[in-house]
Amino acid sequence: MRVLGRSGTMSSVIIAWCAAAGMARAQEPRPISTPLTSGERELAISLAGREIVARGLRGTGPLYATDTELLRTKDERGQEGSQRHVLVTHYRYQGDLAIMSAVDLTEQSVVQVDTASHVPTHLAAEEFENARRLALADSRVRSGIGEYLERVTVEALLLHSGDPADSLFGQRVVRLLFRVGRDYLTDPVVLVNLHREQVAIEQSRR
Amino acid sequence: MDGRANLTPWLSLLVLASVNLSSTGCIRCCSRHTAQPAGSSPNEVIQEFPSRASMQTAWRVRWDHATGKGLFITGAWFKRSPNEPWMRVLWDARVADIFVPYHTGSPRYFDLTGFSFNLVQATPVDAGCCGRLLGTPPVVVKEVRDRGPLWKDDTDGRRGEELVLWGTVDAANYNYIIQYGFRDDGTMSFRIGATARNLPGRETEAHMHNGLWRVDLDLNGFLHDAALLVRHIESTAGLTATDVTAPFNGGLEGSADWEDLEFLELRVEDTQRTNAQGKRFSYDLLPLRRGSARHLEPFSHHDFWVTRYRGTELNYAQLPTYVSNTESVIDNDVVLWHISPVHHLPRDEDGRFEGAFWRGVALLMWGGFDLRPRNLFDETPLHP
Repeated sequence: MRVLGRSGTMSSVIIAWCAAAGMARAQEPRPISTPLTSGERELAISLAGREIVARGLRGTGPLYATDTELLRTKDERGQEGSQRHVLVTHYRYQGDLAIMSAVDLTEQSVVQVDTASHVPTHLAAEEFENARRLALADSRVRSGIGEYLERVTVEALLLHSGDPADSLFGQRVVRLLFRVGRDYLTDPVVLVNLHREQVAIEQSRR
Repeated sequence: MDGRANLTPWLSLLVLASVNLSSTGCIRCCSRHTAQPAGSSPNEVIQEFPSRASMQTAWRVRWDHATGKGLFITGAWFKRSPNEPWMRVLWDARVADIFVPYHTGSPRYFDLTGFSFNLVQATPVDAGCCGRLLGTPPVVVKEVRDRGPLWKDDTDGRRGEELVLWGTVDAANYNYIIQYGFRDDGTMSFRIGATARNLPGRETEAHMHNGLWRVDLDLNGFLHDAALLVRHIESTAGLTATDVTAPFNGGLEGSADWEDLEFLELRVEDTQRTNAQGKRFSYDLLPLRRGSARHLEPFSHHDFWVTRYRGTELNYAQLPTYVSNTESVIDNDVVLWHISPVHHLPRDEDGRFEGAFWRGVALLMWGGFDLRPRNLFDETPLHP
């Protein structure tokens, strides 16, 4: 074991102080990252989409990019790294599958792909439009909305089931709400199964 | 006793009580918003405490918002004293999702990720007399609140203050207020409030609003954090009690349940940095709840989860998968996950049926937790 003499102890103290000072400086905030641009978002989705195909994850049926998020990376000193990484989430109807791709925009490469079945993912705008179109084409829905048909704003909530025994399990089912001004119509209660492209109407529970 | 020595905090209060006449005509005592550096981003807020006297502590907080993510914190730094550098405390804090199962078993919604839900535009009514609006368009309310007595000692005492940032997610019929507080004593508060319209067609059906939180606490930087559990042990068979601190889940990724009889706390301590008393910098997670949510979904089977930091692990529902490789949560970069439930049993105060519509709104119900410092200071902060 090396025994430090006085000068060694002093050196250690100085090194420790410098390290502590360095640590303190390292925690000083860096400038805020610029938000993800639409161009970066499109590039990330494109790169992730290609990787999904390359890895044999495309499958059949609809596949939508449902979410993008800029990932702030940590560098080895605990500071915000300068790399631009984006987490792209795709939802694949086949298998009720979420595909999460981490994209390095600087290197224009996909650095990680993870998949998970039966987990919540965002509803894509295209899916909402499909649900809205299917519902409003249904005479039962139009009749249920009745006199408010020209005034309703359609909103959506995505149902989720965690029970394999549930008939909704593994299905992309959207509940549509019909708002008139600030109030919602109690009826009709409309469920659109996007997997099956079916519209169902439930009884409200007043 | 030298009465003059105790005047300082009360003088601060007198100054604090200076009158602010807002454009809406109301008169209130407002804490002062610290002037932000020229050219600073609206997504960063610096607040010094006390707000109307020389700075003793301060917070520097960054926030952001996004579709399907609500309002979230992208960094928070704290100063224990005026001459110290900023110390990072948070890397990221957010509501990862809001899980809303109805009592009949269906529907079961994830109210944050369910659709393209955004923050609604904040209004002068939201800000009240003393708040300010942030963002273009404004979506966040910034307040510096008087939070009542911080401590009392006979006739001596001091009122506390906190910086609060909040925004409202429009999740179709429901609204959720996501609120973060940063207090003068280093405490952070995390709240989610449910309000607005009961579910059309199910207006009177009971349900839960579960805030699913993800907090990347990077105490004194991101390395060398350890997750611990603190349990209070006492029984009716004896007079004595003990408090036991042990590594969370044996030091590995995993989960734990909140036990009311144990006053259970989840603690994160920095294994490198100590205060002047030689004790490690720590934060205790203190739940605020009336009960514990347990649903079919595995992520709801436990109240606390701790994972090793992975930047792509953001989905609360995947926690059982995230912890399955049981990485170490001792002397590592750790992330805390917590479910904060609100049980909503509808009442007539929520609204009423009127023709084809439901008229009225459910008043706010809050859930959440606090992160309170332990041994971050060398002595009682903000005292005398």
